[in-house]
Amino acid sequence: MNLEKVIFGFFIVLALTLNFGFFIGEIDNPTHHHVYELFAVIVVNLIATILKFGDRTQIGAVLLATSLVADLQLIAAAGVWTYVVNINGMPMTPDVMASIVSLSGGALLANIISVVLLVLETIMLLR
Amino acid sequence: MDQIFWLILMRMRRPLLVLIGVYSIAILGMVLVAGPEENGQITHMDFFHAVYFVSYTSTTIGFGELPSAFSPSQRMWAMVCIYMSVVSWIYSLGAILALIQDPAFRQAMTERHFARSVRKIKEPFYLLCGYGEAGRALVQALTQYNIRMVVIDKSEDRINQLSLEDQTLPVHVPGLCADAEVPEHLLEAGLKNPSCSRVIALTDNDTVNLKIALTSKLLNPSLKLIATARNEETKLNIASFGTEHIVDAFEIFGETIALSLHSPDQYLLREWLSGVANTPFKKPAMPPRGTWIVCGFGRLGRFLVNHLESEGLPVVVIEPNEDILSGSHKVVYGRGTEADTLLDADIKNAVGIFAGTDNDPNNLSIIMTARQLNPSLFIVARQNLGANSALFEALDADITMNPGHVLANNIRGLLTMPRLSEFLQQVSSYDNKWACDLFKRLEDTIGTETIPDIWEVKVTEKHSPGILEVISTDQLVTVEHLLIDAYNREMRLKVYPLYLVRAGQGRLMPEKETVLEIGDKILFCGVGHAYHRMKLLLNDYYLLQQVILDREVPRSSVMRWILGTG
Repeated sequence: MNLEKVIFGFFIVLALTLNFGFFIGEIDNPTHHHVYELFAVIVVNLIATILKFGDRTQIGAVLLATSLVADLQLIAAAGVWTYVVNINGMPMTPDVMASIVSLSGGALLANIISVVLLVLETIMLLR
Repeated sequence: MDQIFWLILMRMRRPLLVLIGVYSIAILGMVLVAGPEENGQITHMDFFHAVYFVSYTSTTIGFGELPSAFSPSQRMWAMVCIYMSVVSWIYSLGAILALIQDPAFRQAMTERHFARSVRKIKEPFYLLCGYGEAGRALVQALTQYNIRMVVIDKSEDRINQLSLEDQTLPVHVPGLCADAEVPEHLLEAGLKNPSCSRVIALTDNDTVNLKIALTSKLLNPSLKLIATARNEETKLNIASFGTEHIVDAFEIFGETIALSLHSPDQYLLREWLSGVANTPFKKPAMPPRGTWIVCGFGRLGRFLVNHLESEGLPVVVIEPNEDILSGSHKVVYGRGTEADTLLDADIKNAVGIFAGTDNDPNNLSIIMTARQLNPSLFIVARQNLGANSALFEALDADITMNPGHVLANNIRGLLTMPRLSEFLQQVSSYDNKWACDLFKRLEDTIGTETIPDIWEVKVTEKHSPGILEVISTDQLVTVEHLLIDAYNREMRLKVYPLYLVRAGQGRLMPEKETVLEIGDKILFCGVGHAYHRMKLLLNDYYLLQQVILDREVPRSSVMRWILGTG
């Protein structure tokens, strides 16, 4: 067992699970999507991205790309939230919530691809 | 690009992880910690302001307690944030600085910069390996012709010297400090670049030259190659896989001395033609016939002794190392720097001395001593280091031989005037009398005070459209026509035709009546503005017509119609 592999797999899977946790629920209901969860997803995703740095293989490059996509989507979601609530000072409305959650849904897709690739790589190693 | 990008990513992994970890803890803490009470309710900082606060605190900007005054527990946490994040920033900055200073990173950066400036070269360029005495002289000479070059040398000092000298050169010469034995470095220097037209291997090491020659022949077989080699075996080895030119300074110098002894006028002709164009010509000193003293029986000494002996001249060798002596000449053991040894070698009755050791102070000392003993000696001195130029100039020997310059001159001739080398090759099959007559004729027609321009006229559509157009109207163009001054038809240009190549056959001294044919190549030598004047004729149909018909020819069709010359 390789500790590095454990940490690597842990963060990638955690990114997916947290992302899923934030995403699930009624898409336009603010009470179903908590801001702490979004914060955690962003932090874990960034850590996962950096863990993927420096892998020069083809699969490493694709893994890094999926992470970058997820980061972009999540930061966009956080940006929308900040803009509406903190800068414009408006209360959270269902349509804003819907756009935030759908952005995080895109990130979820990227994270799924990331995990699928990770599993594929592991299977390839086994054969 | 790749290598550097990955290197940065690898090295920045840990510092970035630390930063993200610390930031997220600080931000989360800031949001969770109880804020000041408002209307009896405990408020919490929102994420946006937490990010804002941590950003300005961790970078030590410190705007204060925003958006409103903090509660004691928030202040508590802010303190934790400050220590945690400032330390992590210092660590990350340190890692970035260490990366920038890292020798591997810097080497990767310079290689990348070098490879990029090589890729940017669009005109044909030469790849030069080795920036020693010869390489330096060659760069100085070839850049005067606006020839682009790229240099690789193993020594950092030499590359630094190049980048200093680069400021004063007419064209930019990129240099890389790297081992030319490694194929990757040659590739970075443009070995496979379509603009790279030649590889010149001039390193101090035969094995390295061999490796460079091999690499370039394997990776880019169409590339022409010039290599220097000292060892006979290496020469044969390099020649075996089709290297175009193998040059050896000592061999060239030995041959030159031999030539000057057995046919002085051939030597004179060669020196005059192959010097640096448009500089004054100083007649070279001619070595006398008689007993010669050769100090130092190394590789150069041996070449010279062989050539002197084949000219039938008696030779005395002075050499301290008994092991390397061979042959039938008279030998005196010693350095030659002391009067005794020189007297033993019968210096009073010698006509010439060659100080040819690989040590400059010894050579200087030999000559100073020899001069005192016999002031009428003909002196040939070997100069090993360019830095000693001032000393050798003060010494004022009859011939100063600098191996680097001999090599550079030879290669310059090969590269800038390949046709001239061919011409001189043909000339060398004639006797001295023939060369003497030719030199006389040149002296009478164009004068030999300055070294002439040498150029080749190619009768092709691309190079001489004017001539082709005249030929297409069934008029005859002779060599003589090209010698007329287009601006003043009474005058003749100071030009002499040396060599004509027609259908692969070379002809020395073509007659003036020779009619030009398409595909001819003619080598001319001329002084002053002659080259530029002739160039006008080659390109301009009307000027050439005027010269052939010996009258003004109208350029416009209206004038032609009026004059009825249609």
